[in-house]
Amino acid sequence: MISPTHKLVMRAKEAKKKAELGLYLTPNHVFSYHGITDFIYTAVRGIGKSVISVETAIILKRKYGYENVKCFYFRLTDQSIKAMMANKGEKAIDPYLIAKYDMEITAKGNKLYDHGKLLIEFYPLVSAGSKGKGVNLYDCNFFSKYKTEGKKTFIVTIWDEFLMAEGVEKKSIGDPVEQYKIYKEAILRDAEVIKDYDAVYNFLLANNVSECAAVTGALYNYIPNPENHKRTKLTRKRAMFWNVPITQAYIEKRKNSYNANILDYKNDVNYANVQRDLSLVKPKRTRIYKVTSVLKFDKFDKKKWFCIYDGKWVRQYSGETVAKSMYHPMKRYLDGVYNADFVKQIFEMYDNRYLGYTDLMSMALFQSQLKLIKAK
Amino acid sequence: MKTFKAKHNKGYYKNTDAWIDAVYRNNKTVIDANLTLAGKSPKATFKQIIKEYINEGVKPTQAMKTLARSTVFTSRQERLKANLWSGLKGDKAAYKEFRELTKEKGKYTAFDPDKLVWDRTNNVYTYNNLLKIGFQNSPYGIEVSAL
Repeated sequence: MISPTHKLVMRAKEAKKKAELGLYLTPNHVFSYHGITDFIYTAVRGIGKSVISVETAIILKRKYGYENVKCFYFRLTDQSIKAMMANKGEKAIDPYLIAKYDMEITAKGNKLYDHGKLLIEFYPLVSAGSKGKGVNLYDCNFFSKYKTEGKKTFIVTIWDEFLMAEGVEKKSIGDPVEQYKIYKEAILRDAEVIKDYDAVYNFLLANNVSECAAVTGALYNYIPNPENHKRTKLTRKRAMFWNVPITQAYIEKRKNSYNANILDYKNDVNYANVQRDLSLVKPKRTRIYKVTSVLKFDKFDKKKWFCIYDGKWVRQYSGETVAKSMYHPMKRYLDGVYNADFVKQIFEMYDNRYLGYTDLMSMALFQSQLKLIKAK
Repeated sequence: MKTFKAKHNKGYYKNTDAWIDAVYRNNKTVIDANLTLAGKSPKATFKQIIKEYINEGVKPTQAMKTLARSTVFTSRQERLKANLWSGLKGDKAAYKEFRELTKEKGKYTAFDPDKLVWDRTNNVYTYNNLLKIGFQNSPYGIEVSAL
């Protein structure tokens, strides 16, 4: 039993210590949650996001046996997977982890082995060559081992680097969120949630909040606030969001690094907190009246439909009934009259920042859908 | 830190309040440096914590011990040492073996907390990369051996 004030003092000291000395994340807090399966981290570079996600898999594998833990690692493109797997996967795992757990890494195809035992499988999300659908990654007997033999089994999935850095990597085919959903379906299918222990750990890692908005919006219907550095739990979605704060120790270390002379740590989005652009979001007092058109980005998925109110305000479609003539497919073959000029007009309105958004979620999802069309 | 004490025993002071004040005066530098809470002085925080414990039925001296041994006033290494010592206390043979194995040039050495490391993956303590100590409280068992 600890008195309330004593608890407050302990927390304050812990927070102060972290702010002054905290440099790297540790996998301890991952294991401290019960009932949470999805861990979404947005943090600056070099703080240990990728390391703790892989380390979680390694800890579980060493404790419960390599054959009882499956680890899947997703990257956006097959180029980045190839780069990681080059030279027998010597660049796939952080040298810190190899030294800490005394690993001997070898690679074959898209799989990575430690001392000849399967460690991680790598898959690209957006690639013409590989598609998650139809791939048989699901083993119906994997989780039933717990009931029959009493063996705990685990699945760890890691999606590293949400979106490609603008202009650095060439965009490829497909929607990464859809592909991620398809892979998750292929891996877990209808596996029931085990309540006795946490059997599934999904990590989603991004450098900053603006980068992850489209993905988290589509998957969890939630966009983290860049100014909020508290851990946010979405209990129903079994997800935990943490926009990891930049500590004083991190800034000091970066200042004294060799790269300090060429990198701008103050303004680079990969190393500094980014502010959200809220100038296009509708003010609270502005009212919207009438739907003027409905934009369809998908044939059936109504989450990818957007209404335009009063010719300006974009809002996610939520069952509004409008005349058939108001439906405008944004792509061909969506069962509707495709008007290329109208689509061009929408793009021009977007480019000239004429379109406004009723809420943040609509803004993030609409922008990501437009980007997908532009990429083609 | 083991506990906070005043200059005299508790019975020497008029009442519990005066005793808590005396304890604070005697440990002022340590408490002021560590007991920080926004909007409150360290003295007020200290008194409030001890009173909260007393109101919940904890003995005043025990409350001092609880506060002194918490993470606010102890370092990780100190807590590691305290844990190890609690294990070694129960087994004289293990303690003797520990002393023998930590000898340097045939002489006993003082315990250095900085050399003590908790090996999370194997659930053992290692000391100076020379020996490992595995112990558990329930059921009690301790084992000291060279690495």
